[in-house]
Amino acid sequence: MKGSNLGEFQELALLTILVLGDEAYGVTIKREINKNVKRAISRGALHTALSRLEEKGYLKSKQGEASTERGGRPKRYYEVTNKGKSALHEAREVRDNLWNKIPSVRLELQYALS
Amino acid sequence: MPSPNDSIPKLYQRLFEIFCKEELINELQGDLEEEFFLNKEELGLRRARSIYKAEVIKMLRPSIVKKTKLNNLNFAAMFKINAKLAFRNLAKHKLYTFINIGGLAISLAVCMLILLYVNSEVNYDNYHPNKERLYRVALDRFYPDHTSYYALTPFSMAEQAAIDFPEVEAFCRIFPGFGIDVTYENESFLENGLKAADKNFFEVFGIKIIEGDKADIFNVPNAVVLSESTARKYFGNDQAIGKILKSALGDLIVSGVAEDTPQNTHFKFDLLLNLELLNFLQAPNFLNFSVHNYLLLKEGVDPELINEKYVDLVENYAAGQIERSQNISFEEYKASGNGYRYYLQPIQDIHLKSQLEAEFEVNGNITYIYIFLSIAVFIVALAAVNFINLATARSTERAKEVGIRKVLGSERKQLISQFLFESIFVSVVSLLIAVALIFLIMPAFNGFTEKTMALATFLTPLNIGILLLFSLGLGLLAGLYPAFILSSFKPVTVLKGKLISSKNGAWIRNGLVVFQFFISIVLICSTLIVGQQMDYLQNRNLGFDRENVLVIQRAFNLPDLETFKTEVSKIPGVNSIGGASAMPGSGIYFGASFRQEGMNEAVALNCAVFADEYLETMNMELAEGRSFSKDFQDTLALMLNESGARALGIADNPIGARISNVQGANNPNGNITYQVVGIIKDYNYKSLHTEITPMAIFSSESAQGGNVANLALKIDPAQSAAIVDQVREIWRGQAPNQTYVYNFLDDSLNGLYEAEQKSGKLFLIFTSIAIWIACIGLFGLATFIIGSRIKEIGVRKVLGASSARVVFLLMNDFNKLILISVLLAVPAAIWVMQKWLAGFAYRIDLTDTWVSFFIGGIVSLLVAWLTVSYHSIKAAMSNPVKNLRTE
Repeated sequence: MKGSNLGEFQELALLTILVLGDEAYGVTIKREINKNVKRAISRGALHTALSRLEEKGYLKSKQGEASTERGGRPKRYYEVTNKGKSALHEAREVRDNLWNKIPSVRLELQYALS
Repeated sequence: MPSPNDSIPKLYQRLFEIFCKEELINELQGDLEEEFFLNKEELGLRRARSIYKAEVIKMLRPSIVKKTKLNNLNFAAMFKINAKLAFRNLAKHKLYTFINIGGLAISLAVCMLILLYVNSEVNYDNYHPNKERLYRVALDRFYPDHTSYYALTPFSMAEQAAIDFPEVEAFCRIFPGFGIDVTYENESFLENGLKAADKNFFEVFGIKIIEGDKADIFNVPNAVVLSESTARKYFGNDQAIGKILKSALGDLIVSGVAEDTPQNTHFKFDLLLNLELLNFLQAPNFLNFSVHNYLLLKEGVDPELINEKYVDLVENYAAGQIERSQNISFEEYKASGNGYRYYLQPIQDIHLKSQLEAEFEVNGNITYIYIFLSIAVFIVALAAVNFINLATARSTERAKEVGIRKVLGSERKQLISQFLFESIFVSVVSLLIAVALIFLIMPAFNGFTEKTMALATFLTPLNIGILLLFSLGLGLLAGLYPAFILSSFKPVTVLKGKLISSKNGAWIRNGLVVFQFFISIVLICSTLIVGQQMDYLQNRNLGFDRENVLVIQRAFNLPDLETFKTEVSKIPGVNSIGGASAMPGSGIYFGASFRQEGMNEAVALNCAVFADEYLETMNMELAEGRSFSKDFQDTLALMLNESGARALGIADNPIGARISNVQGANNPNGNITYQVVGIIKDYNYKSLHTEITPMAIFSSESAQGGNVANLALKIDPAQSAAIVDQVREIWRGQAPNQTYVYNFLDDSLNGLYEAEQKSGKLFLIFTSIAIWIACIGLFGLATFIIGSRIKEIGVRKVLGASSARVVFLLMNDFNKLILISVLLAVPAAIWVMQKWLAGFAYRIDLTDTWVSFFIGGIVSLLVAWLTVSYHSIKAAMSNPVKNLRTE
């Protein structure tokens, strides 16, 4: 299926949403990612990633209550679906498999060289 | 409490709201704002604002930006179809396409040419380092009976201002110059472009020094700076600095080479002398007009303030000089109607807004700039009107196409986009053709206007952008009406074959036709009146003969004038020889003050020196008395013109009156009394732009006799070439080291009105183009209007109408429109022409030119008939059966 694999940034977003739990909406997700990867991402870029993930069915979102902060504009909360979780697992497995296959000597050597 | 939103960049917030999809605004806007306030806490307002801005810009991505309607369709495919349909349509209606693209391209080209011209005219003196603070001192000089306006002012006027007024930062003087012979190693040139200036010339003005040291370019009195081309003329590619040029002013040491004076400068020089070299100027002087004075004001000084201070300066310095020379108090002098008003002219205004006496060169005229600009607008408007008119007229013809396309499922916006595409395509193609046309016309246009304009300098990215936008806008405007009206047709009605009588369309069409004719008639009338005024100027009785007069200039270079005259008079074909200090139109007259004997009050007059026989040679008329002659001793004889006699108060009984030339610049040694021997009828000794002012004429035998600079020869026109050559031989024999310079009087007089003549010709060309464009528009319109009435014509003929009757019917529609246009155009033309004529002291009376308005109306009517009749007669003559069969 086209698009079943996760991009790096998408994976990052999914994981961040899981970390944040109930408090996952635009601002918190962005800040959390910025904090962890030391990379400035724009809200626009995040939006693209989130909407793509939602299209794929890895995320679902719901509108929060309107509140007086943010000029009365409601937040949109994101939640990882089961499909999203399994995609994450899958991605991790692929990676773990690969990690395991690397002969430890080669890895050490690389470190030593760099 | 201020709203917390205040600090959010409003513009960006709005922008975001505009482009963001509806469904996302709440979420994203909310996030942006929340983040903004967090950032404000953590990073401060400034950072927060700039992050906000960056965030908004980064929101510009397909998943967020609203879908425009265009995006809904497959744009590329639609573009392809539109282009194909447009080509087919344009190819099918070749006449229509030709009229539209041809008319539009030519009018855009003309418009761009005019803009180029205007651009080159309005950018004069815009390159000086402190151009906003740089002014020239000009003078309104009030005389008891008239006022003169001078660009030339006394030598000390700027210098004293710089000393007395703390607001003045610097001053610079330019002496307007004269012609001298300059020799370098046996090669001699007559240099007319010679000027002299103060040491700081190259700091005050933006002319660049190419070789030499700007700071001490004039450190010796006989230093001279050459323009680049003059330096090349003398020295080729050799080093110019340090070389010595020989001249009547002594040896001149080249101290620098400057770039050629940029064309957009109100003065030009080939050689620039150090002002100090000219001894005759140096004494402090507040009365005699000798130099152009420039002041550089300090930052932020209002020139009005300096104008006011000049009043005191005149009181403090000029008044004393006047009192000494005139023997009356300054108060009395002022009371008799004399006065000086000095004022500052911004340097950038000089070229277009200053038409004073003794300008460096004939300046442009802001009125012409306005006239040309309005013609440019007119021409483009005419072409745009054609464009719109034809498109609406054709709407009936294309209605069926629209109906079928609608039935086949075309959406309305698709139809709209197709019509718009077509008209935009036409206007952009026209623009390209226009640019190509300009490349072709440019050299000729440059030659005509004596400018060096280049399209390349005009086509800056900004201007290209403006042109593109303009043609897009024009295409859009022209396409708009047909696009919306046509696409709104109901397919059923159209296909049923009901005639679409779009009342609105007719109204707009008629309005536009009236507009076109209005402009054409105004232009025709104006052209005729401009032509009449130019004729009037050229053929007006100036008070002397202008034909067949050969003028030998610089006669003061001859060692002996009399021998030369005797020799020259022996040449066959030379009928008489006269001499004068100034020829009519040349404008070089010196000033002197006179007083009627026994009176206190002195009057300043323009003065000239005439030799014997000058009046006879020029065929000037005497009002009273006699002219200077060999038979009399004329050392102390004086002639006046009629205005001069009036100014001195001796008009009743002038002959024999004793007039005293008060001590002044022309006679430093004290008063001299002259006797009036003759009164010359007023003649135009300057140009017809100015009124005739009082003049006094000395004899060449008088103390002023050395001023006779011009010899006037009345010659037989059949032998003119031979005479010019023979005089040259005699000149070479007597003054071998001096250049022989001559001209014909009528040529130099015509030169006075060259600016008007050129503008007049340009005006004529542009007007013809405008009228032509209006005509082809009308022609196209007639085609379509009559085309849509072809069935009606058939029916009328079947029912018995004669061909003549049908033609009359068709023409009548247009007649009404033209009548309305005439009624509107005549007052407009009168108004415009009154403004233009106001610039001439001697001008035709507008009421005498009623014929022009008549002709304007008739010509436009004829043109309309000609264009319309072709189609109407064709339609009326054709076989009604054919007409009725047409589908």
